[in-house]
Amino acid sequence: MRKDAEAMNDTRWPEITFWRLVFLVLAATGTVVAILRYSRGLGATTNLSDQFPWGLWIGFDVLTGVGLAAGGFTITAVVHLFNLKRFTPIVRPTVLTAFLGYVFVILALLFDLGQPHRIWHAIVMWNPRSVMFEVAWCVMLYTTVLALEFSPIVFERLNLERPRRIVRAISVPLVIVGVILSTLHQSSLGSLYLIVPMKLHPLWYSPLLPVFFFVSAMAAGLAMVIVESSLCQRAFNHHLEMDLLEPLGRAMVVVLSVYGILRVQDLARRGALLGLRRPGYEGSMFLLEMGLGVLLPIILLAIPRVRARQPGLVTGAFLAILGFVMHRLNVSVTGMERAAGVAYFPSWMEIALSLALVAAGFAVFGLAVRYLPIFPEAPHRASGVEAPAWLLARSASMVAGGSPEPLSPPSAPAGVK
Amino acid sequence: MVAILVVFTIILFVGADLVVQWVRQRRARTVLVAQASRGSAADLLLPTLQPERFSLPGGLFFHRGHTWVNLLFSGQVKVGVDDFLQRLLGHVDAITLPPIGVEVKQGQPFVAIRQGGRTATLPAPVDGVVCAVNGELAKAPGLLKRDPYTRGWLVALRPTNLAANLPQLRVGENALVWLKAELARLQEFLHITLTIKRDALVGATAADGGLLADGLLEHLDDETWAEFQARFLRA
Amino acid sequence: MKGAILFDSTKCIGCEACVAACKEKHDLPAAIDPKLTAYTWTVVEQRNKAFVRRLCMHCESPTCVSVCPVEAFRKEPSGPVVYDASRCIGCRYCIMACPFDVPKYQWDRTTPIVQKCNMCADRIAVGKEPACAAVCPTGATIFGDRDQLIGEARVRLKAAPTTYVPHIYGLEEVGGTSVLMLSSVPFPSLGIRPDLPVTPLPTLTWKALSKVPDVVVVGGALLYGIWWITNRRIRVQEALAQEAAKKG
Ligand code: SF4
Ligand code: SF4
Ligand code: SF4
Repeated sequence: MRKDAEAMNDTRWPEITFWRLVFLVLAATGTVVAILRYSRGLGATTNLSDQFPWGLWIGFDVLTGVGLAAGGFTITAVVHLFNLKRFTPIVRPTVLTAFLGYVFVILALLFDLGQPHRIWHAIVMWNPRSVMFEVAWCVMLYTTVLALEFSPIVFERLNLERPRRIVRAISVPLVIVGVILSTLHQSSLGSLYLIVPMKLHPLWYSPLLPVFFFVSAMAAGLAMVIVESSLCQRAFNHHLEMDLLEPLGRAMVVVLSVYGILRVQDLARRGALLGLRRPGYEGSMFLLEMGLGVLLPIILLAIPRVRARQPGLVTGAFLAILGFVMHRLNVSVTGMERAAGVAYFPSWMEIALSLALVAAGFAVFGLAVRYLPIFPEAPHRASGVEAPAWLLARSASMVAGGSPEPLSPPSAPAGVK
Repeated sequence: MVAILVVFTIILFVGADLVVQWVRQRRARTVLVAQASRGSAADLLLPTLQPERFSLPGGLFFHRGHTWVNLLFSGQVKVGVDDFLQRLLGHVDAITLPPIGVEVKQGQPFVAIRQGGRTATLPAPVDGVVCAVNGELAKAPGLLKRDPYTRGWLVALRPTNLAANLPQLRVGENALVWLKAELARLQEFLHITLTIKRDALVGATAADGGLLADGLLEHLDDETWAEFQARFLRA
Repeated sequence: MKGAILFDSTKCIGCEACVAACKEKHDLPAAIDPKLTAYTWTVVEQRNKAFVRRLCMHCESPTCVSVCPVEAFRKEPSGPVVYDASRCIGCRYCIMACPFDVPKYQWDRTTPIVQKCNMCADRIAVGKEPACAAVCPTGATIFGDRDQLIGEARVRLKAAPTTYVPHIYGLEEVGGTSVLMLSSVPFPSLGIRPDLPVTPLPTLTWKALSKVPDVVVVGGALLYGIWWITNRRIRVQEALAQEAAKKG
């Protein structure tokens, strides 16, 4: 840490770029709003009311934030449980995003709760019949798991061998616990709405809500990994690993299709599709959500040529994320408005605080990438000119032992004259 | 409405970022072109193109077409691409390897690397018969980039003319001297290209106005790419 | 005895004595809000020439009790559903979930709490009836044992079948409530939800929640199995490679 402080001291003031300026503005307004929120209360700063007690902070910051952090459990499971080690390079950035996502959710809750200083009550006062109780515990436990999963990176930076080895030793159980907690948690956010069958619009209410929340979170998590990698490439000149991301795009097609089919089938069975023949407010929002956010990405990503190139892949993933965001907000806001009898639109302060939190997330990610080994370099690159002995030995055993199979199709290289 | 609000906000920010990037690229290119036209090649001696930045394992023999040879105890040799090429190349879409049993000749093209619509062919570093190919590369061409000297190997050969071939290759200090020369040549090449053609390099600039070594080739227009291929991946 | 309130809309004259009594009993500001708020726990609304009271229905299987993560709500055996402000973290799930839209929040405070009618639980505990029932001049609001009140309601329905719509509201809605209502006009026209299921709403979430242990056990075993298999496959491959290396 001291080293970092020195490093910061001897660099001059960072150059003012457009996004740094935007960040400063957002952070400043966010701070003001935070002060107002705590000094004046929820009623004075938000457009929430008895008719609409859950607004943007729950619908976007919590429901959406948690879902977008879902890449964490998907990728760790793929690498550590299914042992597809070639995805290892994207584990660290993904776990970092997930961790930041959850911290972001907890921060948002601290603003949204009416009695934030009592947030610890959920630890000691139990009501196992409450979905909210399950959500609270899962957030707590999973944030801890993510912190542990992320800790080796910090230990590595600080050269702490022992704790790093301890965490490594429990890494498999840690990943398993993480996957289970995420499953429970993603789905329980949907279960929150099971209790309002007469309030949530039939286009979104379904006994299968927990399943929908889980499956769509999985798709969103994968999409986030893709979009985030391209953001990293843009911000840190980190190379985009197309051969790793393309299979994620393929997986998204499968997950999104399962999700789409489940939802349409469920609607058909409950007869809710009929209402779409003359779509009103809810109907249009639903069509937008499913058309742009589910169907279009499936089509785009299903075409191998589109998926194989960066613009196509990122567009598909980006659309899927927008669809996911729409779903969460349709459940939490659009679908509840009719029953509430009032239309809810967030106050500027609600919007400003959400923006500030997202901006803070981006900033912390940037700092972490700068000071922690998030994107591991190839092992020998740093070691300069001399090749370590193990490297040569390993190459030797690879030829001797590896069963070399011809590439399919085994043809002469193109362009050989 | 709230859903629309949030979605539009996200799109707005992404759109703003695209604009910012576009402006930045244009500005950086102007700086670069200005530097280039001021005429000193040293201006282009950029931090990313310094020899310390490139890995050069000691025991490997390097061909001037940027492929390497590793002599194995078994008598076979392993062959791959070097860090220099890997870095400049950028993303790799597909790699075509010769089938097992084929005979290759030093300096003759034996592997093709495809990036988008363009293909680079690499010269074989020694004479020999292909006896194994790296099957993993077909699944994950990116291995070539991540691990050019170990997991990203291309083929294994049974050499047929090693004694005559080896003197053409560089090892140890010779390799380092050669790498420095190659980097200088690259500087010069870029400098000349930029002086003649201002738009040859599209977007290959870092925030500080310097050139990025990583994926430099991706940013070359087709003609310059062909030129690069002829000058650097030569027999 | 399980305490309950029977409200007979045909007897209500809209005098709002109950509202005033409630305000006085619970030290609430005297101004009467037109709708339920954190400071007005009961209101009398006029709809279709009939009067109807709004107050907490004191459900038999209360949604608010089931949703609260910290058990701030409790259903007392004597009937009332009461709220313990010192536990509440302010998540407002109760407000969002209550099928009758009863719990209200102190939006104007910096550390707000939830408020609602508590059936004057402290009065019931000492054997008195709730303030609103005690003060009602016409007997539109009466307090008593739930079963006895159901019997009373049935008697009234039978005695004057033309006056009443044949329905005791609260007998079965969401599993039954401890506030029962009778009316001469259909309940929807009083602004009272007709569409509530007879199964208690908490069963809906419980169906999902009760699967949690299964997910943990089955999921854990499954994931561990997957890891074991893939890991072993890699180990075997490595061993083979090593052997081959030795031979070669
Ligand atoms: S009416 Fe609402 S607040 Fe009252 S007991 Fe039932 S669920 Fe709880
Ligand atoms: S707002 Fe308070 S009482 Fe209501 S559910 Fe949340 S913690 Fe429980
Ligand atoms: S029972 Fe008590 S708290 Fe409830 S409305 Fe009547 S007076 Fe008010």
